[in-house]
Amino acid sequence: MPSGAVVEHFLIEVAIYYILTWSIYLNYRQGHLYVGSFFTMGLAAYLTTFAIRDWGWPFELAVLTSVALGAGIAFLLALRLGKASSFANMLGSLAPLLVFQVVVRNLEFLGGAMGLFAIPKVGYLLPFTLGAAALVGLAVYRWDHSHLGRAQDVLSDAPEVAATQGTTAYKFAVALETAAGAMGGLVGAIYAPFVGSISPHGFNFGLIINSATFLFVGGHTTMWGLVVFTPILWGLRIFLPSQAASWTLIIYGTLLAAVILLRPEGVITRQVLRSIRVNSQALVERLKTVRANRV
Amino acid sequence: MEIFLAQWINGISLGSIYALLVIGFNLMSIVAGVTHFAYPHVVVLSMYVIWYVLGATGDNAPIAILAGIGSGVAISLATEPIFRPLTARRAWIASFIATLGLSMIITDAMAHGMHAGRVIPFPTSFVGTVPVYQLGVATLFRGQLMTFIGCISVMVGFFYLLYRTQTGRAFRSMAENPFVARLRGIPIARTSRNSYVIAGLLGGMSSVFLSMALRYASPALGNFLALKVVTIALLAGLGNLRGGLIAALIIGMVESMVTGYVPGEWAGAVVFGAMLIAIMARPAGVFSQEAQSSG
Amino acid sequence: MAKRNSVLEIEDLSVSYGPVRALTHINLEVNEGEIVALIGANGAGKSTLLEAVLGINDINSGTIRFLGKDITKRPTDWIVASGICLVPEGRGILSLMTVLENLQLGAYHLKANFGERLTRVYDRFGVLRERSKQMAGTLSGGEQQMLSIAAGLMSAPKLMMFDEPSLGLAPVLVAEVFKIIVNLNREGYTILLAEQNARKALGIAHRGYVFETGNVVLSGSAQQLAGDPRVREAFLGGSMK
Repeated sequence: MPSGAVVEHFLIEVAIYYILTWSIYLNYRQGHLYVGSFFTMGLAAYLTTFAIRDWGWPFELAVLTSVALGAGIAFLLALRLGKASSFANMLGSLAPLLVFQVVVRNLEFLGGAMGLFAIPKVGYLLPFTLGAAALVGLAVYRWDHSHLGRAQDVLSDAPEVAATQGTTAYKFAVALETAAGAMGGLVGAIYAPFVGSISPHGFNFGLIINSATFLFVGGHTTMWGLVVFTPILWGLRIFLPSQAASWTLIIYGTLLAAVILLRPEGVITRQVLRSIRVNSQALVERLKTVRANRV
Repeated sequence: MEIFLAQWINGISLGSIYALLVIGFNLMSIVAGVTHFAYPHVVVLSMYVIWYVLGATGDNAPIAILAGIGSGVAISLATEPIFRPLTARRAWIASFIATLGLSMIITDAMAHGMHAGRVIPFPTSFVGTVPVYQLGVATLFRGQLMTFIGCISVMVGFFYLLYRTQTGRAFRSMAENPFVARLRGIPIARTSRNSYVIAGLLGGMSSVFLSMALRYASPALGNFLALKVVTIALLAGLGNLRGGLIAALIIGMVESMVTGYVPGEWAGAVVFGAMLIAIMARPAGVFSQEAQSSG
Repeated sequence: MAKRNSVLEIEDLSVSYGPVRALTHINLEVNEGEIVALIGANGAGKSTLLEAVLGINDINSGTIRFLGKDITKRPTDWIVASGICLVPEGRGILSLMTVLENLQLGAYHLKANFGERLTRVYDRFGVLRERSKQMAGTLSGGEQQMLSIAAGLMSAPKLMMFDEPSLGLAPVLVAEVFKIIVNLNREGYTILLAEQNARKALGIAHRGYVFETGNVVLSGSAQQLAGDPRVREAFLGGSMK
């Protein structure tokens, strides 16, 4: 039975992946595989480290500044990137992360390749992170069910319509990429005190691969697929015997390839959600009748 | 001056290998309709095959080279039936994600199974560190010369295939308009399979040249190459064969020059930074004849 | 009247796109040396039929026989190789390849006597000889249509099918194209033609079939159809049902 510390660690990690994966989800709704949140995560982590370790800022201020920074940078990038095709968009959002890694590695005052250490802990990080994830989830939920969210659905379902709605697609892209940037900033600010030390190597392609696995295996057409599958898939590392756990990457890769080939929408699709809703409504009705009969 | 020459030679060798990889990648993308992110990973796998064969046969170069090329074709053909549903759909992003999964499998397999994931060095007899020409401080090594000549020959051969044979014309017709290609009676399935064979051949040859030029291989090499290859392919416009070639040579040169002249390891930043700038400037791709809308 | 050699026989053919029925129980035949016209409004199923013959659409039921042999389940490349070509709607050419390359691809299955056939095609369409090294996309609309026909000819077809050859062409060019089709027929090519412009189509055809929402509602000789009041009415707006 894993210890309390391990569980706390796990919960924070899952919450972090929730936020990051939702940021990909939001943009993928219109076909953009945008991964800019990982870049703003790196920026925010470094900023927060200096802020709370060297400049004596309170944690909340660092978080707010990180979110603002993430949003601002993502917004500027999105002004051009929003017009790009799916691939250009993906690579354009990945490139800053790669550049960031190299630049930081070479700059000693940013810690160079070894990174920055002795980042002070934040005592209430667990509830804070869980709260942050819940807030982001709520926002995603509201977007999904708003008329804007539905309009975005049309963009991806009916590409001919999308072609005529060029400016709308662009506006959505800019808005959601900015949101993703903000989400990355939030995660970065949490990540620094969580891990205690950061290095450029830590913000790498592997994080993106994990998130992509959670999203596409879980189901990319709804926000709930990743909610169910992130803890399961991430938990493989902890809950599998250590021999098997080291093969996590192969398991992720196999699941990812298998899902795309066999069940492209992912495990949890809108159909699945609908049938869950219908069945649970039927169940509630049944229970009510049983209760009424008993009386 | 001599350093310049040395870096120039290095740059051309590197660039011509990138060019081969980009050509193979583009071929798969335009004929088979598969955005094969794992293509460079398969190449690295072939490099491991070469290394094993060298070890097993006492550094027998010709056999090892054949093994490398053969493994490239064999693996490519093996993946064809798996990718067939994606080819039919011509689903660019889906195939990217599926091959992302494949790349994870390959990387992890190499990390676990081959040499316990440590870096594998290629014996000097294979690599050809025999200096061939000396100009002051700059030395042209046999390996570099062979790489350069080899790559150029392969590229010439490939473009001959593409522009002067019916097979090549069939490839180009499928790339441009699969419907019209069908009307001309071009066997779609067979042509698609042919592209797997050619891409596999190109990949196998790349693995030979890479072994000679880089002199080492590691599980991490797959991602490293893949990010560059996808970047270059996109810079030139996905599927643009000639543009991809030019872009690859330029990137190879830039990388080499930066490594040679700028202290520190800034090459990656420059390459990906250039890509970012190019995407921002022309979101549809730099050399593309028609804006490729993928996704 | 003695039965001429049958080139194409379609028996009881039905084709669907998923749940949507595109063709229902079609019976049709084309004999050697004929021009057969398929007329009807857009979406009536004419193109679907031509594509079904070529093996592009999935066939629900029915048979297609070419020169006596059953080709219903055959793949497209086999069907093209056995001698059927389709000149599609909207210029079936590869604009990023040269005129010559388009013609070379037309001869994909027939490598023998390539030079001869190329010369004959160039003799027929002089403008293509002039532009042989140019990218097909730089040709004018009329020239592209000619290239499309020429590429089909390169495969020495025994049946040539045309899908809306007049579409998108100026009236002068339309007349040109129809003249070409008539000449091809005079030289012995069997032609199956789908065309919205009923008057022009019936003007050159021997026989015709009228399509409406996936059914053949009328058939007969071109004269009979041209004189039929229902046909006249249909192509001025009214429905035939």
